Amino acid sequence: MSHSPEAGIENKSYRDGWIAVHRMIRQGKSWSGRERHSAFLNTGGARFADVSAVAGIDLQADGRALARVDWDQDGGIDFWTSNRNAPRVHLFRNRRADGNHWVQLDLVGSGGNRDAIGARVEVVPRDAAGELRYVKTLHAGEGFLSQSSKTMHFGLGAAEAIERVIVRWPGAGEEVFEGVQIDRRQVLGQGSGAAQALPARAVALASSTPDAPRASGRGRVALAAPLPMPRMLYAQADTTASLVPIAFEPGRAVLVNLWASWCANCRKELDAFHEHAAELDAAGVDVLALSVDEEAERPAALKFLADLGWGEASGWAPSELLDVLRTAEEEVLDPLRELALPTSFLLSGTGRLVAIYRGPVEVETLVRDAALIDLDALALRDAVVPFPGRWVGPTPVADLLTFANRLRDRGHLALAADYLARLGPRNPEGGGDEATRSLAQSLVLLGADLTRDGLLPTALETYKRAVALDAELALAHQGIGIVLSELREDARAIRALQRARGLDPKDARTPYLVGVILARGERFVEAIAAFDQSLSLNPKNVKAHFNRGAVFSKQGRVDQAIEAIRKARTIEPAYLQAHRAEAQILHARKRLPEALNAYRSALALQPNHAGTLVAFGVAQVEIGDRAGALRTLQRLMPLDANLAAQLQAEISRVR
Amino acid sequence: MQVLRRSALTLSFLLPWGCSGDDGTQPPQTESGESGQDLAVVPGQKERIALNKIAYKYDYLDPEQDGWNTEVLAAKVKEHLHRIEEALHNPHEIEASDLAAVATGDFTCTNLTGKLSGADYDAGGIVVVRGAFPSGPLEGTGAAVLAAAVVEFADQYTEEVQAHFRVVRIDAPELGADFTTDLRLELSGRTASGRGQQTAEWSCTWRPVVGEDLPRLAAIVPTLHESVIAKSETGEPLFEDCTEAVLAGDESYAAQLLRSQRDSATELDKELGMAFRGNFGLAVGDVNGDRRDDLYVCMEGGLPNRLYVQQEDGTARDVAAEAGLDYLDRSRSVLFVDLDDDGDQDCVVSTYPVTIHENVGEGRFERRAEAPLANVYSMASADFDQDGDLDLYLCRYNAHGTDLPLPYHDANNGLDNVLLRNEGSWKFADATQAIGLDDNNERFSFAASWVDYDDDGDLDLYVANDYGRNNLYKNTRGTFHDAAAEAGAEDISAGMSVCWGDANADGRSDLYVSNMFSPAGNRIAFQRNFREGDDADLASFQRHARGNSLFVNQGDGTFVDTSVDAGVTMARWAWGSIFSDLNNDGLEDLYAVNGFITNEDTGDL
Repeated sequence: MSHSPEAGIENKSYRDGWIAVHRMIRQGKSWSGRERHSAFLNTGGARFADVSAVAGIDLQADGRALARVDWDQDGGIDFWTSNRNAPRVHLFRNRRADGNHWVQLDLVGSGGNRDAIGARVEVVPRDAAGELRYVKTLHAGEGFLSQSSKTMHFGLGAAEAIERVIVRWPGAGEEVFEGVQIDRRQVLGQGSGAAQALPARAVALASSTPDAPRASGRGRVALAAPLPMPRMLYAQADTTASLVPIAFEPGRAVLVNLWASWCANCRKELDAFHEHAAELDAAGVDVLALSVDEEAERPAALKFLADLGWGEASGWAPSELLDVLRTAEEEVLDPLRELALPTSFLLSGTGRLVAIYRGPVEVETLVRDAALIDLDALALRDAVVPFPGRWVGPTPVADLLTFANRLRDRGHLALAADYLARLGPRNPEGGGDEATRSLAQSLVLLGADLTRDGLLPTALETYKRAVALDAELALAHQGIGIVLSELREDARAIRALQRARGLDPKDARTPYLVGVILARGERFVEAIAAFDQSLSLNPKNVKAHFNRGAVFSKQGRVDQAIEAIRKARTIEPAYLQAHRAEAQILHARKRLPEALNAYRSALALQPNHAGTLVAFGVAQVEIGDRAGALRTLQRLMPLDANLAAQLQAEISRVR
Repeated sequence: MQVLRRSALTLSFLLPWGCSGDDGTQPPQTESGESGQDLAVVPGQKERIALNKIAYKYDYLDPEQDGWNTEVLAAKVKEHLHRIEEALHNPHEIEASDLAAVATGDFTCTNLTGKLSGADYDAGGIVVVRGAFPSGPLEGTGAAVLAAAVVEFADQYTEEVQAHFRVVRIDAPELGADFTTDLRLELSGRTASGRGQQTAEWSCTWRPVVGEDLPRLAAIVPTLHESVIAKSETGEPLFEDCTEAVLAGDESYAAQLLRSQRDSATELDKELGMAFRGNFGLAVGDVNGDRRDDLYVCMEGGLPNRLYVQQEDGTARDVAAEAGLDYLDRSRSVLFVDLDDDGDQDCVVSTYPVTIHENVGEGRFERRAEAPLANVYSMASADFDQDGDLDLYLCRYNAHGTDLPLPYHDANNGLDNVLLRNEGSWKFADATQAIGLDDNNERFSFAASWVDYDDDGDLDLYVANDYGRNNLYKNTRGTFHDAAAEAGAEDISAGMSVCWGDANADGRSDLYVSNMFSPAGNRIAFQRNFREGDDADLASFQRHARGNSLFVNQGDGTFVDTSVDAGVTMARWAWGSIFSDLNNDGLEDLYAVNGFITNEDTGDL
């Protein structure tokens, strides 16, 4: 399915592979779907024949559980199965086409467990010709998530009668039952020695092929734990189109309705909202109609609202808001879908998401759902499910952290940072130390993304909040060091990194980063020491080798520079920069044959790199290989006219 | 790590040479999503930003992308196979010209049905015939001989013909050269005497042709042919679907059971425990002592579990609410067992916390105990210590927050399974460690089942684990150790379920374990460039996708894996499987249900 990681190591590629698999499934991709159930007929003990189709139990559904039972008590084994598809269960009835004999036994233990679970039963038919034995154990739980009937069923083929039944009771010895009747269901009581027959039953069940109605794609989901929403900005429908936040008022709900002028369902729905404005108002629901119309369609949208006499708020939905709403739906529902038109989001007076409606929503539903806002957690949980029932577990809690991480992964870093800021210093939704640690780790990941995007002050703020939650989180201090280094606050950066190193002395990255800062400040000796430290923790860090070489080169220690850079490319032979750097150092020192070789290896990795080609050509000129330089020139010409001209000048100059 | 990359760039400014960015940009990702049937969608809402970080993985998993030579070839081969499937559907109308574009001019094949010598099985109206191979070559070459072979193969069917090829394996050294595929053909339909089905396995050679996009079939060498006829005057199969006869009269059927998991998941907050990949079980038991078996159905969070009590006429009525078992919490499995030795069926539901109920009569259950154990999958009960009461073994899967199996083919970072010892008076104690069941107990466990495999008078336990090796806990006077390796029954693959039964009717308990047979997985695993230079890993990947396993008990504490010879591996991506005598001939047959996720998208991976 995916790359396997090395044992015990969290491999990013491997994790991403799983994330991709899960997302594909959530988005509607099939994965080993449309498979037919399998049945294998035992053709003599050693080999089985595939009889899935002739048996007629080759259901094409995503099967899960499977239990054996003679439901209609006609002497043939039937099956209940469960699956993901509709209907969620199937009963396959054995049509008893075989004409063979059978016996069914209900065991009653005494002394041991009364269910006689674990009992081993052997049926010995009279005049049994073959060597086949009929032995079974009584199980409670087998297969997958399944328990089969406790009535033990034995097929007996052509046998006409039963000689005896031997029961090895759990924890006790064997007991022999005689006079057990064939083709009947009987009770065997431990210690009774005699079988007690049960009355026969006659049940007639009609067969049919269940057909589930196709889902409409419309629907409502009400949240069991209303989700606090991040900042939501929409564009006003006036000439300024300026962005304003959706406003909330305690005690009033806001229905954010996404619509478009070209969407008939949307227009009809707005019409209904308008007509029932008084009812909605009385229920405390304010509608905010946000159009997703493109620029060209906006006049039509405005005209529609004007013609309607729309008196409620309206505007345009910018892409950030659409992303936020889409992310919220992703947070609430397992299936991932594109936002439909219309879709409406019911938000409480405190800005929490209460319900999502895909497709047009009835005013009556909105009035009913507005009442959800005032319910406590227990009552709300009961109100959001379609059937009554009982609960034993705790009420769900909105997973703000995951929501923030989703915003981050969608690239809304500032929104995510702002959203997470509301959570600290402790997650107000509860969760204890583990939740606090998760929050701190999320902040660190967010900080890294912010740093990458150059949002340095926010990144610094974010890392500091992580430290406030967990002062000993080395990666947070490391992140602070990186941001400060970017801000050229080298002294403070190094102090932060030293703190990180104190907390996690085994992280090779920390001294490496210190080395980079020191090198930049031309503190070459200390830089080399820092790179050495990093390499002692992770000798395979090619960049540490490379940068160590760079520093040696700055110091004029050519041999050491070359040695360090060669280490980098030994570890990673495709490390292009290392080959190029080696060539350039050697070239600068006029060690031309060696330089030419290094250029050649760089060009072997990337034959059309103009910068390398021109340097290579110059070195060829310098060593007197005019023919070679001309060939290089020919390669260079189609790649970069300017550099080619320079090389040509160089060649001409020597002539 | 982003941080690292940025820092490296920082240093490059001070270096005497330039350092260009070496990270490739990822191509934009597009994919289809479901939309409501009659609803428009907001424009421009295709998945975008969130996926950039993992877009390369989408590409990686896309068979059309680079690196999966076998998947590209499989797609091409399938186009031709569809033509042969069509021909099989109408064998009486087939002409050589229909297959002219499929076969090379010098196409050859040997007799597809093999050498026949009497029936391998003939009892109770079922006849099984297998051909012997190698078989002799057919006369002639080219499309004509292919057409003739196909006609011979399929002309016994009169109607309802179903033909389906599966590409099991592709050996493709490089694009542009001849390559071979292992195919499995499943063919079935009505025959003059009843209903028939054939299973065939062919090794096919394909040859690229200059100027043509699709390679042509150059040769077929059959390796298996198995034909089954179930005699029946009406042509009906051995089983019929009676779901609606039993359940449709209960209002929960249309309201709840006729909705798929995915449909339910579009209307329920997933924080309630709703998931549409979900695995939810069932139990059959007699909950009211009327000698009729009843059915309990587990449901994902937000939907109530149902207890269908069988009526005299075979129909069933949901009484979960009256019984006190209508849990809305996510419930993966359920057991009905007599825990207090009073002669009725008590009930354990794998909610969180796990709930244990006493049957108090008159169809009611009262909760007597709770166990704060999360993520419980299958449960299995037995009196392991022979103290007269039933104990409970609970399988658990991934630990909270660690959903990644590590390493994939032998994961050892799952959640520990738990044995709850029945202490009487509705008290249960975690005895896992005390009795040695903590041995090798950090797996992703799906299922377990008890049996006395070594015939020493106490019950042993087999545990099927996803992503790796299984456990066989041998019971020695109430203490256990994992004997799977010494018994030869580790079955290192994606274990989904386990059942015991006497497959060879010698009186000893054999073992059948459900695994994952993934056609794509199988092909990809066999591809030479899947895992360069790591033969051990490659072998384990291949084993992972082999399919179900049958282990035959040797009577000396060891097992022999006879899965392939017995012909029981190909149960696809299997979940539940059990031994069961389908036709009352006294031999244990097998039934396995399968299929991972069927979604709207038809391009199955």
